[in-house]
Amino acid sequence: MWWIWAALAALLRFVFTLQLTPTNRFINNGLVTFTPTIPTGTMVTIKGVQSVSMNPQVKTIQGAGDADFYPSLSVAVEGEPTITVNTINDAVLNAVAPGTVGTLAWTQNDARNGATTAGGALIYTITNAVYTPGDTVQGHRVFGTFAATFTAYATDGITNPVAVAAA
Amino acid sequence: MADETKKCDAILCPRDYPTNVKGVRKSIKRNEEFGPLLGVPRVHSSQQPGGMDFLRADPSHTEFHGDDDIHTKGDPRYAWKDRGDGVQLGTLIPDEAEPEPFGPGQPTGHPETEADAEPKPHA
Repeated sequence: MWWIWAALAALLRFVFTLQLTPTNRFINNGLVTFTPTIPTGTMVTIKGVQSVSMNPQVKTIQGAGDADFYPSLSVAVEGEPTITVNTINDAVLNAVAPGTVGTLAWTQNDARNGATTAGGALIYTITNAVYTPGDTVQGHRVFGTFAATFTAYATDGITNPVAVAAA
Repeated sequence: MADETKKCDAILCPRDYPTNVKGVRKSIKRNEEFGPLLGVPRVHSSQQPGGMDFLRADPSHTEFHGDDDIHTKGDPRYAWKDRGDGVQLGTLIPDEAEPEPFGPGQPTGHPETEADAEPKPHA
């Protein structure tokens, strides 16, 4: 009889491993929160999230001279990470003043395992994120949307304010 | 309670480390390898200018001192030690106590006094 239990345990272990294998594909957003730090405030959970877009906004300057038609040199000189959260809950950040600095956290769910620990979800943490309200859009026969925009800075000027971690 | 297994306060590693994994598995591998060194289950990683990734337990920690103190802004916060495979382990540099102005052995800042203090060459 012992081999039945051993086989059952092996099967369960296999199923569990299969469940936790990251797909390297993502679907839907998990928890999205904003915690004000300057001035200090309570954490706001942004619900009804439709999309989160993040752009490192790396800027370059170009050099050219003489008979150059194209830039003969281009160097990256600045990064200004910008994150936009689109939500159908357009009143969610009403209590947060524009210009408030805080920490924005966002979970990108694994396509199969969701936000399971070691299941492939990614947690993005953006420190020194400055909140600015964006567009409120209302179309015909669709939910209205609100875009909350955050631009991030680094206190030391070097450390990337966007950090990523596996859940 | 301090974590007894913690070996360092921050880590700098090449962007493609570990080299045999890609995508989200890289972040999972970093949790497995560096989490115990930092004393946390989850390692936060940021791409730094210059090709290295800065790993730490708290995503609000920075590689250098910030602008909250103009005297230390830009100074390194960690002492780095290369472990031989491109990964550098960082230990927090303790904040130095502010030296007493014009205390014993401190320069006064006055040129005349400074000149007097220097030994005069023999004629």
